Parts: sequence; C-alpha cells; structure tokens
Amino acid sequence: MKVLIVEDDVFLAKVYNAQFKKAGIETIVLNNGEKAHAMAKSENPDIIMLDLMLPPPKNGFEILEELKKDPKTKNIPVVILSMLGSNEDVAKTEKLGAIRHIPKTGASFHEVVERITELAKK
Amino acid sequence: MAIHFTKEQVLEFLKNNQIMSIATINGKKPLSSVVAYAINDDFTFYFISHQTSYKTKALITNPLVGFSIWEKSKMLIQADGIAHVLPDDGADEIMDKIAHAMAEVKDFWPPLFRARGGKEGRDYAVFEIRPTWMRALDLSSLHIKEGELPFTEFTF
Repeated sequence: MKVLIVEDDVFLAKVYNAQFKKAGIETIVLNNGEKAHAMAKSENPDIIMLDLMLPPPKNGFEILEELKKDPKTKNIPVVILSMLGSNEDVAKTEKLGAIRHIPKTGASFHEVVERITELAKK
Repeated sequence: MAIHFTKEQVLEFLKNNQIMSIATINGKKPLSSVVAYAINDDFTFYFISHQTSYKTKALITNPLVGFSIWEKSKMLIQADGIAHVLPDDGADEIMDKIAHAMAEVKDFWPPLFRARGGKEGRDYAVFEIRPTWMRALDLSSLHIKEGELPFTEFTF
C-alpha cells in the first residue's frame, strides 16, 4: 500500500510518515500542494491524505478539484485531514469528491493512520 | 524492598517511554506541560514546541526545567536540567527522531496544531535538555525499608 501525504506542517508530516512506516505502509510526503497532482499521477498512490490549509499557490480544495477532474487520478480516494471542519467545509470537500473528512483535532495520530489504512483497503 | 537502578536500566526505561511532564518558570508563575520526547544514549532529551508557545517563551527566558516520566508498576523518574533551542541545521534530524518516538505512542494527541502553514518547520522550536540531576523510584515494589531511601539518584 502507498499513501501520498500532503501536509505543510513539517513536523506533523514526519509523525504521520513515521506512523505509516511503522505499519509497513509506503509513503510519499509533500509539504506543499504544488506537486500533489503531478505526484498522484506519476506515483498512483492507493490513497491521498490531504490537508486543506496549504501555502500558495494551491490550497487543499483546489488540489482536490484538480485530482477529481483528471481521469488519471479521479479514482484515487482522498481523505481530508484538516483543522477546517465546519459543516460548509465538509460539504464542500464531499461535493468535490473526498471520501472522508477527519478533523485534525478529532483523532490521535494512530487513529488517523488506522482509519486511512482501512479506507485504502476498501 | 526497593530496587536501586543502574544508569543503563534507567536509560532503557526512558527509551521505552515517550511522554514526559515538564515544569518551567513562566515569568513569576510555574508552568506545567506534557511533551513527547526522544532521548540519546548520553541522557540528552529532545522535545518540540511551537515557537510562540508559553513553554518556548518561558524556556528562552529561563532555561531551567524540571521533568518527570512514569509508568505504572515500573518506574518514576524525576529530573532537572537546562534546556536550549537547537539551531535550524540540526533540528531536522532531531524532529525525525521525535517523530519516530511519537510513532510508538498509540493514544497521544499532542496540541501541536497551528492555524496556518509555515515554512520548513520553522514554526517549531526544537529543544535539547541536558539533565543535571535525576532520581529513579522503583514502582514495582509495594514496600520500602525503614530508614532506606527508595530512590536511586544520579548527577550529570
């Protein structure tokens, strides 16, 4: 299994990366969204863990939209992991095609990795 | 009877744990925090905090720190030391070390989240603590011997 992690918080990305590696899961880590779409196309991950608040040029909503418009990446499941968790944000990401929206404050690192791994297996 | 520990036994215990409580001096008030740590063979501890957190500000003003680590029925460690922020060039490797230590903790949810993204992790301060004093208490024993202190004490 291969997970693409798009998370601009360098330390959080390292912790998630370490958690996935411990579970024997391959990862690709991007600390900004600029190359997320291209990386998804070239690496074809089993699932993408995407933050929403990313530094310019592209935020998570824009990346999600790009991924779902491209026939080569539209079937890769995307899980949102973000501080943004209002009903509006969740509805927006669902509409754009995310399969799950996990609030960063709502789950331990271990739980996040477990949930994403389960979702990738479906 | 209480067990007296060697430094190696204490180090092994500390390597098998990843969470500690730290006490700092925040202006005129004490401040207690919980952090995830990593440790080297020479008993140097590392932890991470936001550049703008209370504990970062407290430790930059006053680097004295007290800390404790415990595990039920095993051991309690109390220690004090001096903390300082590592320069950026060594910080990345230590962040990896702490991240790997945190991967061992099943339920830890650290309050590390920030509102906006930063650059290259520089929203964080990576701290090194060099302990000056430490003592270990055996928590596997239910009894102590009268007149005998149950602690093993170390200085650095």
